[in-house]
Amino acid sequence: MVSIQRSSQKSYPLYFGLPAIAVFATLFLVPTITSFYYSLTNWNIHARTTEFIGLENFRRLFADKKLVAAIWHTLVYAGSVTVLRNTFGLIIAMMLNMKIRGRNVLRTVIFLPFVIAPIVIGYLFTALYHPGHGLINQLLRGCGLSFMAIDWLNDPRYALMSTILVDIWRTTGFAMVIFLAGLQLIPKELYESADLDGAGAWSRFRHVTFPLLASSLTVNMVISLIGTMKVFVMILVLTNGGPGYATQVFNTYIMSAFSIGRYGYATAANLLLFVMITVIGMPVLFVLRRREVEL
Amino acid sequence: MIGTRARATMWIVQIAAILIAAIVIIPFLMILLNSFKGIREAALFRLSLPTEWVFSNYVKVLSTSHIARGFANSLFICGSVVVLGNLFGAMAAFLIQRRGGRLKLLYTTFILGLILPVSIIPTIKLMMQLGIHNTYLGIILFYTATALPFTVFLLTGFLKSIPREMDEAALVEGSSFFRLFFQIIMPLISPALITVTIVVTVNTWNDFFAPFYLISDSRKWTIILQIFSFMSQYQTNWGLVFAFMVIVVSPVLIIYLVLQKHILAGLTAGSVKG
Amino acid sequence: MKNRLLILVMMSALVGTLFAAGGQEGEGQPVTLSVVLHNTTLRGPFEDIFALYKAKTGNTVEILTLAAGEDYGVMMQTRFATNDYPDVFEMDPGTKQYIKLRAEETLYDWTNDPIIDRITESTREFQTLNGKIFGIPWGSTGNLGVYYNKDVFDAIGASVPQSWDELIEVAQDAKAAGYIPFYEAGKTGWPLQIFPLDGWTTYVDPVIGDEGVQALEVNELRLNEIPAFRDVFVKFLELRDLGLDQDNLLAGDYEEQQELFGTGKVAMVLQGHWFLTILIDKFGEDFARNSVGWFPLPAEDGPGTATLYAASQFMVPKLADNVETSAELVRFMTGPEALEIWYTANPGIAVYKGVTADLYPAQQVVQDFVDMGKAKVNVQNRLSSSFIDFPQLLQQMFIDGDVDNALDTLDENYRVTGEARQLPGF
Repeated sequence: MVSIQRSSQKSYPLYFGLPAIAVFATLFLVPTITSFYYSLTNWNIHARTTEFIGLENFRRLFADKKLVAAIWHTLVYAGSVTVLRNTFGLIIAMMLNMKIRGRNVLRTVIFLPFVIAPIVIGYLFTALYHPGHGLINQLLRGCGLSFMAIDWLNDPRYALMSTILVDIWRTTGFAMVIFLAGLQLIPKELYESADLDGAGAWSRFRHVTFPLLASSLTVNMVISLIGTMKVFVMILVLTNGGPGYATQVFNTYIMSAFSIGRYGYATAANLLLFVMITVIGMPVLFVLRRREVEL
Repeated sequence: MIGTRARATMWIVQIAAILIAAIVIIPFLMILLNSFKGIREAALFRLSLPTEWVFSNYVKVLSTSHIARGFANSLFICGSVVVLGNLFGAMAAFLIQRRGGRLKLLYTTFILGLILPVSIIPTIKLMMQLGIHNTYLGIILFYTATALPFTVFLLTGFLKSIPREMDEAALVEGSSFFRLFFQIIMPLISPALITVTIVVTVNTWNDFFAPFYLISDSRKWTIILQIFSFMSQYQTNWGLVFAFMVIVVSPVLIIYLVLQKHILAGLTAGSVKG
Repeated sequence: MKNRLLILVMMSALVGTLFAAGGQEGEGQPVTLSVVLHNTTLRGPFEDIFALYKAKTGNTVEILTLAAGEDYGVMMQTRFATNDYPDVFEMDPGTKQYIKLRAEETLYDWTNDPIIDRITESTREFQTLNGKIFGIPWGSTGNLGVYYNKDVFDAIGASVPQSWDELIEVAQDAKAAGYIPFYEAGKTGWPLQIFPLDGWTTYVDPVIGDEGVQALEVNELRLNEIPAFRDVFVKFLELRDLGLDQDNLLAGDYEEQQELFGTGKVAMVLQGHWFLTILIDKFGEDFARNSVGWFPLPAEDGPGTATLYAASQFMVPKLADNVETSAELVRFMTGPEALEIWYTANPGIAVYKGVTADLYPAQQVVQDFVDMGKAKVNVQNRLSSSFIDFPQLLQQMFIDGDVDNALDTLDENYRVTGEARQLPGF
């Protein structure tokens, strides 16, 4: 028997990875590394020289009540959107999985807002949320629900909630699609044997459906969390962080520091965001992955 | 008995699903209808047909707002990013997946890019130092860099299902390495390439963040920045604004409707394999 | 081997087109110049002026507007820092902009240009720093103050209030008669600043004087250490608490403010000279002449001090591509035909000589205050640091009613900016 020589490692030339490494290193890694340096300086648009100031930027950041508020809003936003988007996404996916009529059309329609640019969705909702005669309040009043016709974007009590609802409207379709794909992979036999064991709907969900959706859940949760902590355009366009500072989030805070030229300070804030995402994202990813494996 | 209950449930679910779809459609309907109304009527945001069909909104938008330029810029940038990202990403993924060993570290580095946010301000500084700030090259390379993590991630996963034996067979038959990669491997990973293309295109086309920070020359603005600029000028003439939105959203909408099966399939294939 | 070469060629071609795409600005006639304006500047007259310019020279002018306010200055600085120069740009008033932009190195020097002879004496002085002029003033000296609808005042039998208490009374009469006494554009944000700034010249300047302002300039006095200024904030909140603002202050919109004022539903607004221009544009000359009046925020026991808003200026970066053509454009803009177009649409206290001032009654009142010596330039134009985020912190004040927090935030922002700009004393 002729032994086929195993292709040596050398057949896969190292330089093949060079373009990707070059681009990624230059435009992602280098700035990430230099941001550590810049966050420790007083770099700003007015100064002729950039000087090392140690942890001064961070001291100022933590002393700023507006940043604390921004962090809080970001966490509330990320948590709410993640939980709600995925809950609705799952429910709708299960609904569509029930072989109702026109489910492909419905799937296409519900996913639609996800492909439209967030900036357009944001402007759309500034029209929909108009307190006087925006479509939402029009419909609420028409149904006799006038007490719900609040000033969605200008009332500091409700502004953040309103932005959360917009995000959910836009992205539930995405969660739904991922869950739907996961659902369709669950073998019918499992449901049948559950039925034979006399399981009710909730039991079926808890013991068959939900566990087997583990990988879809991981994907959805992690993407949601990380993406929503970086929310920017939506809020910029809906409320610009206002009224007052009621909807200020991390990225809008960074932008406001940037637009007055405080670059070192803004970079330090960005570093904090990066830490926050890692500290929250990694454990979640880890726990969910572990669960996938165990199941 | 079970039959009736199941059927009733089906009906409820059916209606609920239609309602949900309606929640999605109605806002777009409002935009469309009001785009044909004059400034005063459009500001009422009613779901009614225009009392008077106004086409001048569309005329004004098309003639004054440099929309074509915005589209051209977006198309050029997206296209370039897709080409470069797919090419460089596939090359790197192939290398990493086949060669293994110490390249695992490289893989991890790319994965980091999936989680870490971009440090946009040092990026601006770096691009200025390299002389590529506010240039097409600069933003294309930037987007490519941010697209690579996902690309490498997805393609390495996909490549696992393509046996090494194929490579060996080809090489043994005297094929060059390049031939192996471009004529054999690339076609085989095309489903994953499609997924990557879809994701990268949607993200790049719709992105506000990068052009906002990296492009200050209005002639290079993508369609997204064009929207931003238009809105800050005309935000109170809703008829005009809605006409603008219709025009800007239409290409995306049409492509989506035509390709939706592929798009949705592509996305899910990626997630399940991942 | 051949394949490798092919790849290399394709990649270089791709990269090459990218580089080419980056640098393909065409040279040669005719040229397209980019002019950056504040978004509060009326575009119409400029479009007419530039159309005339194009007819004469064949060059096209593209107008780009950026949001007015503190950000505007920083945007321009950013563009300068990235060598992305516009051809001509409008800038906030004052010689402090020369310092911000390092005029000696970056801007076209107008000191000996024929345009200078056409500017009024006092304006020329205002534009000069160390004997040099780098910005060409534009339009008219503006103002900040209370614009009132004369028809509404007639309907309720009110006359121009001569004290703070009279102001409250007039507002309450208006409210009783079903009018909105004051409309504040809370959502739009920037108009909220006008009350405190107008209040400054009436309440704060008399107390702290020029020495006080100079102390602020070098960080020897803090904004939250001035009781008179705190008092202005308290009065601002008081109007809302007495129900004298429209119902939902935080939803207030600049467009709606114009609309309701012009249709006689609102009695008074705190606004600037640009407001009159927009009223002329939307509601006609007759309305502006007959129905729009002006007075400065009154003092406790007498009429207030008029707050003047220095004219903005046009500058030409000398490191841009088409410097001479841009300079020619500016000369055209300040020539008789162009000025005619501008002042017809925007009559006012012109900064150019020989412009026949057909002042509107509202503007005449401002002029009278100037003649009486009871006018002072907006404090923002007198300080090198800036009131950053002023609109947001005022919105926040209306939300939580906390005047001291608002002042502390303003003070903090002011000092942080001074430090960032490396101004002496910070």
